[in-house]
Amino acid sequence: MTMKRNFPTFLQASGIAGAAMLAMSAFGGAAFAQDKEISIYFVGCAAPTGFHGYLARGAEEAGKNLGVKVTYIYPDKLTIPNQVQKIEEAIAAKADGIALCEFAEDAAYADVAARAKEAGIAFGSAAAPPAGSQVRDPNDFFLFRTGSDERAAGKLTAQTLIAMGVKGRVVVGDQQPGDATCRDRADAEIETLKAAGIEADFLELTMDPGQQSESIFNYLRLHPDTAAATSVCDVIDGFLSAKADSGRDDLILTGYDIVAQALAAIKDGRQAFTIDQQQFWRGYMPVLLLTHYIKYGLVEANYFLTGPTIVDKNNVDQVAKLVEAGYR
Amino acid sequence: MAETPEDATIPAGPSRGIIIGEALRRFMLRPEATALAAVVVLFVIFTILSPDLFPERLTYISIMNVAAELGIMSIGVTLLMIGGHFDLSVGAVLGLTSYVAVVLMRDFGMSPIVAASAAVVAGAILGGVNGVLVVRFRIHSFVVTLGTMLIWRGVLIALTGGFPLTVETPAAFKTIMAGPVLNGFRMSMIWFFVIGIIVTFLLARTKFGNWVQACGQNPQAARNLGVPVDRVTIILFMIASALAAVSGVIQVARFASVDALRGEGMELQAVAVTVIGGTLLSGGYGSVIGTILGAITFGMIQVGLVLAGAPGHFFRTLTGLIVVLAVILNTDVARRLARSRPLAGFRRSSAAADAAIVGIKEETDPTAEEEPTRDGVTRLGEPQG
Amino acid sequence: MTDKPVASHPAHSLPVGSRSDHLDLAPRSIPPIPPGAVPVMEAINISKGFGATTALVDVSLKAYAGRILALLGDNGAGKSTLIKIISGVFPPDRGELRFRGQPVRFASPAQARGRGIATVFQDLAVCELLSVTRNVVLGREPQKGIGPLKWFDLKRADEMARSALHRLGVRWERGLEERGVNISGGERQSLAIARAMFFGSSLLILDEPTSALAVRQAGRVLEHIARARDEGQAVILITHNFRHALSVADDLTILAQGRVVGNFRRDETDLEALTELVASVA
Repeated sequence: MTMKRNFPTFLQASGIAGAAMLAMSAFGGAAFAQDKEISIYFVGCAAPTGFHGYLARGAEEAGKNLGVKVTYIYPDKLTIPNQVQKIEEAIAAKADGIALCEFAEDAAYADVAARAKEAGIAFGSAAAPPAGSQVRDPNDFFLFRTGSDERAAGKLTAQTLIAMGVKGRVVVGDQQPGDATCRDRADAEIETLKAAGIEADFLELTMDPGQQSESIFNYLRLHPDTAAATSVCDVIDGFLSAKADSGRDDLILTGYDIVAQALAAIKDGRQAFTIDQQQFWRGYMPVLLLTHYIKYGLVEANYFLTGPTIVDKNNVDQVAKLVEAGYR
Repeated sequence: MAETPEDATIPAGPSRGIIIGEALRRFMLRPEATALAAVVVLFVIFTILSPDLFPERLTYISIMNVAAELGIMSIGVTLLMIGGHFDLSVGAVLGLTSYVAVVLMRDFGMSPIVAASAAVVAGAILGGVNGVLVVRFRIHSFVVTLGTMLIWRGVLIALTGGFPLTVETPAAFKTIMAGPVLNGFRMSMIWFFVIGIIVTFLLARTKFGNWVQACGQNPQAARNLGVPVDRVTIILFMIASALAAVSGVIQVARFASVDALRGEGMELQAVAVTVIGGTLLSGGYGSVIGTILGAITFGMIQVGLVLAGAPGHFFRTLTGLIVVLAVILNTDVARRLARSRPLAGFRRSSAAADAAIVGIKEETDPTAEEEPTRDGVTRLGEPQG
Repeated sequence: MTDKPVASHPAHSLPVGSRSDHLDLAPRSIPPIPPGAVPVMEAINISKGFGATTALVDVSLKAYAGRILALLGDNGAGKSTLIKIISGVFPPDRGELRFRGQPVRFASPAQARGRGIATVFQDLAVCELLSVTRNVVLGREPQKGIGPLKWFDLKRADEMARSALHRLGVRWERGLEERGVNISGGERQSLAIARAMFFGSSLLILDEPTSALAVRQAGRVLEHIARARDEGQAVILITHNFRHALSVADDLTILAQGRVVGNFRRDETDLEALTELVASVA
């Protein structure tokens, strides 16, 4: 009789206990999962298009491989205040680590870097270190820097041209004269060429391939001794068209970044080579470096240079395959 | 005509020199005049700067290449501006419709004709969106198209994933749209002129064209007279974007590719070209022929600066300077001429001036051609004779 | 009833001297309205209010073909509200409109326009950068061609503009290609009236056509309005200028504070009487 009377109570009690245990494990589990997942914010320079698309994808892949949450954000218009605002948004979102596509002087970010440090957020730059500095400065408020050296890229272009035995002029066309990245490439190439005694000209172009084609075409008319032309800030289409129109099959074309037109042109010989920033690493490495710092406290000793490297007829086929896959 | 004492001695008509002067004054008042002047002046300057290279067929071909691709889009922008609206989204439309053409050919295996037509239709639809937003919500077209510019560009960036797309096109496509046909001059130039003539005819010789001008000048009055102002506005936006798509198709034919930033910045070049051509920013008045000349001017500047060996760091600056000068010249001269008075002998009768100018052209005696007048005043509707 | 003028005026009995600087105010005999004549537009006991304000109370008027009705009154008297109701901008709260004897209710100004009611506003008349011809035919451009391939028949447009202006007695001293910006205010008003008639209006509503004009120009415009009347138009002339009204009108209706305070034939009143009347109700 006591059993009968107690059974409902017993049932109730175990029901409540069971529910409590379930709740606790769920709650504990959730809390556990929240503790685990690291949140990395990648503050980009632009929408994940072309060049910056690789950064975004590299970061995303690193996030997948390492099991961390990666969010790519970017300002609509790239100005220092706009980008700093994005960093602040990442801080407000309680990121564990922030990787920044740095495009301006360090000083512009010093303030927001201090705030990130205060909030206990790891902060690193996805841009190359100042030219010439390879070993990490312990006082650097960026935990790390990973980027391709644009000046090195320009220099590499020039050196490769020299090695190819270019005599005669070289024209360097810049389709976005306001862009500092492209300016560094162009300036370094022109300096290196001039130092080797080769005439080199800087030509402002527009973003329209038709207008680019006409400008280069007419440059060739003005300077028939032009041996090579470099496109520093846009696809090579306009240059290819100018080369075809002018009948200058011997004109050496070089460019930047790996895109479909460049690969096709390198394969069939219309373009000599292109400079690869290996920008996939610029997205991947920051996430890796942040994650390992957050988890294990590791800090790089040397700044990580992701590029430049050359893609020419020798390795174009291999690279093409990787382009399909989205890595190069 | 009532007999008057002056009938006894018919006054001799104004001198031939004055008639020609009046004809010239009349011509200079036209919007096209200053654009033509810009072309002539720049031709002279650049010929002086590079006498061996500038006045050559290759140069003209090059100029027309630039002028045609920019000009076709600009014609649409001009027509819309005459109707009183701006469109900042045409550059993005060029890019997005190029993408449509490339994808249809590449991923759906459609023939270039179908793909190109679809791209132009897509352009018209995008333009229609602009038009409906402006008309329905009564927001200024500048603001609306600024917004759609960002939207279309964003869509293009998202769809391409940021990567350029290439496509194999049959050689015939390239030839028809942009191939060298006329002694080296490209088909794009032919398209440019044909479209220019059609749109000029539309503006000057059709009912619709009259409506466009009225809408740009006095939309309220036009509405009161039964002109379907809203419908006209939407159609204008559709034409502008459709023509941007035509420019895009020509570029796809020529370069067999599209990238996320195709067409970026061209909307402002189109406005510059339109204003050089004499079209008013305030709307209601303008000229497609002027825009054609303005596009040629722009092409001259680009090509001329390179051939003249101008320092490569200053192209943008110099282009901007020349454009500003051309516009100042255009506006200032036009204003001064508008205030100018007809030359002596034509003060009171533009009809008499017309007759005189026609008379000179026909090499007939001007006094016999002119309607009998008293003090050069012609009465409207009164029996002649 | 048709557009035939209710009372015919001899062709050249213009109420003002040709191109004179002053307006002729000597009373002349105005024929009475024949019994049984149907007004082109009749407003019957129209009332309209906007929220707390009453704009019109029990206003009635009649406009006949071939007669000019001057609608007088100060600002705020309700003239523009009445005109808006007649031209279809909004309906009255009470009362009705009759067009040629048939009750009508306009859903939009376009509907009123479609019936031949043309309103000419003071400042909206002309597109400045279009030629006179293009201005006159705007909206009803004559075309030439077949099927979808039609184009603007400029030659016929010129003829139409010429004849429309001629009907009005407009003496045009320059070519028809002259642009709107180059013609005087008075000429613009006349152009607008010519245009309305070209469109086939039967009722012309003219809103303050002479208010912004110098005396000589005003005189010319009034001549042209009289000519329109002679051509069989019914005309409602809104003005706050008694002299102008007295120089052309056949009938006068005076509004004050939303009510009709006087209804006269032109020869039943004069400037003094009108001024007194308006002063007394102010």
